[in-house]
Amino acid sequence: MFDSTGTFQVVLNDEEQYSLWPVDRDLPAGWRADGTTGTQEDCLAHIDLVWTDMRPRSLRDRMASTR
Amino acid sequence: MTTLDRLIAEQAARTPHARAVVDAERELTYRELDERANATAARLVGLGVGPETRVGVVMDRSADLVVAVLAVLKAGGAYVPVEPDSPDQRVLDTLDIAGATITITQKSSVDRLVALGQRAVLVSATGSAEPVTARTSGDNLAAVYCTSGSTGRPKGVGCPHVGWINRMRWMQDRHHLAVGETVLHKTTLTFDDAAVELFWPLAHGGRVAVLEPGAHRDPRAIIDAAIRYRAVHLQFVPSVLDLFLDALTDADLAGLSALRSALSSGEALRPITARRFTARFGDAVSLDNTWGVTEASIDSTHHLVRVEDGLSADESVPIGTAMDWCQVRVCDPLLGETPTGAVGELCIGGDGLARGYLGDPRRTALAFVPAPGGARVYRTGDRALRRADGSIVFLGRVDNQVKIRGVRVELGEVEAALLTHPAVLAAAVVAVPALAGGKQLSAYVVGSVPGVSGSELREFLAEQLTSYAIPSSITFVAALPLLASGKVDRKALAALAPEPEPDAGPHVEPSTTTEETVAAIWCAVLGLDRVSVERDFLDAGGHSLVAVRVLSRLRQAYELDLPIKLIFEYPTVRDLAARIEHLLMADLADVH
Repeated sequence: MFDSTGTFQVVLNDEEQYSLWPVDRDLPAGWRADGTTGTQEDCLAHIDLVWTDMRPRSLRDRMASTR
Repeated sequence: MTTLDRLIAEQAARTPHARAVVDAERELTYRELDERANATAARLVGLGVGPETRVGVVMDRSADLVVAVLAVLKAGGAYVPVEPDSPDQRVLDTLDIAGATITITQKSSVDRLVALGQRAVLVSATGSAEPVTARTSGDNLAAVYCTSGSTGRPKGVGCPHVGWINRMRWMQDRHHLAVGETVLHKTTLTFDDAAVELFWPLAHGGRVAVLEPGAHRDPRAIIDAAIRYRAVHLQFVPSVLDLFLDALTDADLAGLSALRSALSSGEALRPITARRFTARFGDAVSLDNTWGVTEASIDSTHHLVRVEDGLSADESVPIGTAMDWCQVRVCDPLLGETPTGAVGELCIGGDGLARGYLGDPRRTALAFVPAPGGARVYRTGDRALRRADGSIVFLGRVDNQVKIRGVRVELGEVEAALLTHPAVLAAAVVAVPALAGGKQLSAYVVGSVPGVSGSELREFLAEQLTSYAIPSSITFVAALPLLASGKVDRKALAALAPEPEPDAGPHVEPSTTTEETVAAIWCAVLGLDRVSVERDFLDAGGHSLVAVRVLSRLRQAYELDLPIKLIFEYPTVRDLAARIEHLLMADLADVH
């Protein structure tokens, strides 16, 4: 994607799907930063920790309510 | 949002007596398919399978395999295909990555799967009218497909129902399959293209005709089955399409009167193949060249092959334009769209995107990146440009991924596997053009002392990798050439002509007429000057596509109906010649 040596931020959308984005570029609409910034490796290590359920949020909610 | 199994159940209710699946042994109507899948699904539900549960499927191609896949979906689960002839480590890795602890299998594989720690389930021999419908919707997983990963560990792609349903609808909008018409299921289930051969017909009242196991690269068997079952649609990787066109006779052409469409996918389609196809079939059969990835529901672009594509001087036929349910863009490094004619990376967006790589948030976050509207796009790693007419031309990979006989192989995965051998100090793997067309892998290895032989290394790899990922040649070198950056200079490797591996044993000349004939055929097909009758076919550079060519020459020479597995069961000239003599004697005995 981008030059992997810059500074990145961890971002997520309404479905709580994670990705990363360069700090010096405008974020696409519908995505928000979770506050973590650093090298690409820093961001990936954080995503590894927090993104423990890969189901989209709407699916998680629905499965929890129809249980 | 509906699911694949619901679409099929609805079809079964509309056309209960239409034929749904046929193999060499049996034919099932829609009602029989539905009821046997219900009974099998009930077993799975009893074991705790529900939405999001992954269930292994380790079965040879058969009508039962179709029942098994449908049963997993009815139970709410996602099927995880594994080839029954994979080495144990591969089976374990695939099921582990997907998180499957229950596997549907066949009688002959039950003991093995139990030994590998799986709960083994067989397809029910009887049906149940009691429907099984899980609380699933389009965003639940239908399947998990494992693909090669650059760091050695494969990636498990989570495929939701919705993308595949779009893919099947696109097929129907384009090809209008009628109730009772037949699609040949010839693709190995571990390729996601196989899903099109199953779910497209079954969601529309068509019939799935199952090609016998092991025959998917045998052009004679494919042609015979397509004629016998009156197939209206066939799918190929280009290397097998070439073999199909090689084998096609005028009588076959007349026999294929029901055929309307064919599809090429998995590798770049060369103009010569397109030219041969249109010369043979004219307007009677359309050929779609498609491109796509497992991460975005099988295929995302299509191009209807025209006569002029076959006359082009380009390396490959265009992959065309996006299918109507997805967005495909050629992007610059900042993910902006490149101008017409400029090279960029192919990125896919839309409803077809997979959930990601299961259990691997890191690689998911890197590959599925932010797009406007809270959406994601998948970066394919494929290089391409858009022509002035809007169609896209595929130009290769941005990384070290290659396609071997249509299967994605990461060179890094093969290198990582080589490096786990204690006698290997360094290793580099490159893809080189293969004599039989397509590509093959060449490995360059720096060995320790005492060393290891090429065939020992190949056996070692066979325990861990799929057959596609095993190098055709292994060359021992003193050191790997390096770039200034310290990385391996792959171009310098590829420029070295791969040395044929020296014979493990002494050269033994043929001693019978049959051995002479078989040796001459091997040499002609493998491009060798001579071959020892004790040399193993794989060590001599053979693989399954080469085997098809050896086989067709043997059939011509001896007028025997020989199965392709013969080449692998009798892997030396001596063994194969002895087997052929035995079959010739048996043939004579039959006549008298």
